[in-house]
Amino acid sequence: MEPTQPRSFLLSQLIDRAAEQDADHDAFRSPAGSLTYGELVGRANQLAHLLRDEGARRGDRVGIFMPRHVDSALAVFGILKAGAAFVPLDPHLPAQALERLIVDCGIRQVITHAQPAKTLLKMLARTENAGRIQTVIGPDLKAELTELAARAPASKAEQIQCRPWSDLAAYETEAGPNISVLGDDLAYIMYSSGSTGRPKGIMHTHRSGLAYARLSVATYGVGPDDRIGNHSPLHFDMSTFGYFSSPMAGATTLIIPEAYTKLTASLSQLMADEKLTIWYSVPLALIQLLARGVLEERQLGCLRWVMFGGEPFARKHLYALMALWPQARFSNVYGPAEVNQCTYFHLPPVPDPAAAAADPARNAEPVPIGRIWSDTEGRVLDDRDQPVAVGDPGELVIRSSTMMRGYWARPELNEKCFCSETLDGGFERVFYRTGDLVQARADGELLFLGRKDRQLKIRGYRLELDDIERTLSAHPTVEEAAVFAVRIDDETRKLSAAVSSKDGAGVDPEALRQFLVDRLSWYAVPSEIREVAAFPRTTSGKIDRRRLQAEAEAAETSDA
Amino acid sequence: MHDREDIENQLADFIRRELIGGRRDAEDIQLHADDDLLTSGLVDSLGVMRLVQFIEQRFEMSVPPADLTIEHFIDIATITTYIQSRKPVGKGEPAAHG
Repeated sequence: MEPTQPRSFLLSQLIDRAAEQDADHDAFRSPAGSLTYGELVGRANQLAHLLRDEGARRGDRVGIFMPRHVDSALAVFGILKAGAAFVPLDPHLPAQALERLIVDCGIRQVITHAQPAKTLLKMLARTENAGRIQTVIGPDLKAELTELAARAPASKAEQIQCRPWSDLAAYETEAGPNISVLGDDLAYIMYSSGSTGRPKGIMHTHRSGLAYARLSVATYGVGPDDRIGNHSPLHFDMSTFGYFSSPMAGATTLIIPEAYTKLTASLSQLMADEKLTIWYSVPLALIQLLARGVLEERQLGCLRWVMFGGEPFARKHLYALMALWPQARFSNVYGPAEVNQCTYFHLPPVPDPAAAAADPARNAEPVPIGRIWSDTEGRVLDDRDQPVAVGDPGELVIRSSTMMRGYWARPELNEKCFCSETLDGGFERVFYRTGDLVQARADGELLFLGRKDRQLKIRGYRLELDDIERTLSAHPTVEEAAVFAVRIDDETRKLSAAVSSKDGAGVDPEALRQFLVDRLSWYAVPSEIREVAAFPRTTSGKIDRRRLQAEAEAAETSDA
Repeated sequence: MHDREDIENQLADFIRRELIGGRRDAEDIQLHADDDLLTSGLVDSLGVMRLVQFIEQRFEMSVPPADLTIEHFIDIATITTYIQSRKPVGKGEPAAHG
């Protein structure tokens, strides 16, 4: 027999390999239904054939415009098996913002669900979109498209193919299309959730996605018995842990539907019923669980690892969780979406976490982002790209197997964010500038100081806004805090703080001011501290500081 | 006491006025008693908390965290049933947490 040529190992094969191990093991679960690895492979093969029929080819971008549902896992692996790249689209985008992304990366096929399909139809009604979208897969929209074609002939809606899920039955389950895709080919584009400006599409290859999956499975010892809580929506980069790392380990991912992320008593019940072993989310989800999740009534003894990242997590909340879940390990995860993860910090055990949670001095200390993980090199550089002395702040610049290929169709950004170093013989190493300021502690652990563009000077003094926020958050009456500079005129800016109170019990701004005066340099004390009932959030759950700043500046102008 | 229709109208008014009023596409949004408020993105997690505050004040009742569940809060109809099933807490009495 002729020996077969080995092929590249691709992200799409993660589920095939898991199915070979145990086809009946649950791959993705959700209260509305679940898919075993065997079912997922069969359905993804069918979807891949359907996509090929609809013209999707290697390198093509296919949109996933869906709520948090197991069908999104089917879409991810179906698209990859067709050799195309998937592009997650936030299901709550209004029609115009959706259009911007679809135009930006030239999406022609969209996989969707009934609810977001309403926005999609609204977008298609705009005549300038005629001929842009060729196929809509998922819900049966034939009647709606016929109606749209009659109402708005210029939309050319009659030319759009509608392929409902029921069409999958016509295709083969045994094997996907015979495609020739390399590890170096485009696998997905993740749009940054930036609230202003043109969206940035972060391009990842099969290789960078697999590198992340492999490193994270090793770092957290993920195995087939793990049940992973995927809190993040697909369009947020933390989802790669649930969608890639979990299948690599043959584990089960629980896709938490949106309703549960808003009603935390239901969320904590679901976590207990599903016997989750690993949790990964932004700090906000954990803060909400602490505040309203009735955690003391839930059996969460299976939880062995709690990972959090995306923004700094106040220690007092962290200690409160440690007191509730003494069996679990806790890790701070750091890494821009451009490189997936790049550092980790495993919290050392705390003898009396409840006492630690009540100690303002301990709570004012930042949680380190820790150490650069494997297959990654990190350097802390000054403005002239020279290494800083240990302990000095500088920008973190890294190279890694998990690094993106670049931003989609943004040569000017790629020019800025990558830098290279040429070694003997012309051998080149390519680095990514994270734009994040870090500082190495004497013990080698890295501290995150803030975004380079969030560092500012007021009255000639250099301020680290995150440092001020952390100090404010350490106060017992404060739940969360945000600090930002408000522009008064061309020369003047003032420092402003917004805080939410613990249990909505209210704060005393003067007491908070005094608390900061005792702990910070005088110029770092905000000139106003305002209580807010709730913070505006970005779609990923981070506090939207740009919006706070814009609102404060608008108020400033109207007062003048 | 409030009858069912009255409660549903008050909730719908509040959601329309306070929670989705600022959205660019607000005028396109229809609101029915059985519309899923949570999955559709009509109400975000902060909106849920503001809705709870409104219910506590308007209907003079206490909503303990354990009651913040999908069964009670998925749409206006279930919220109304929940409000009617809870004995209102009179003014001046301590709120009963359960």
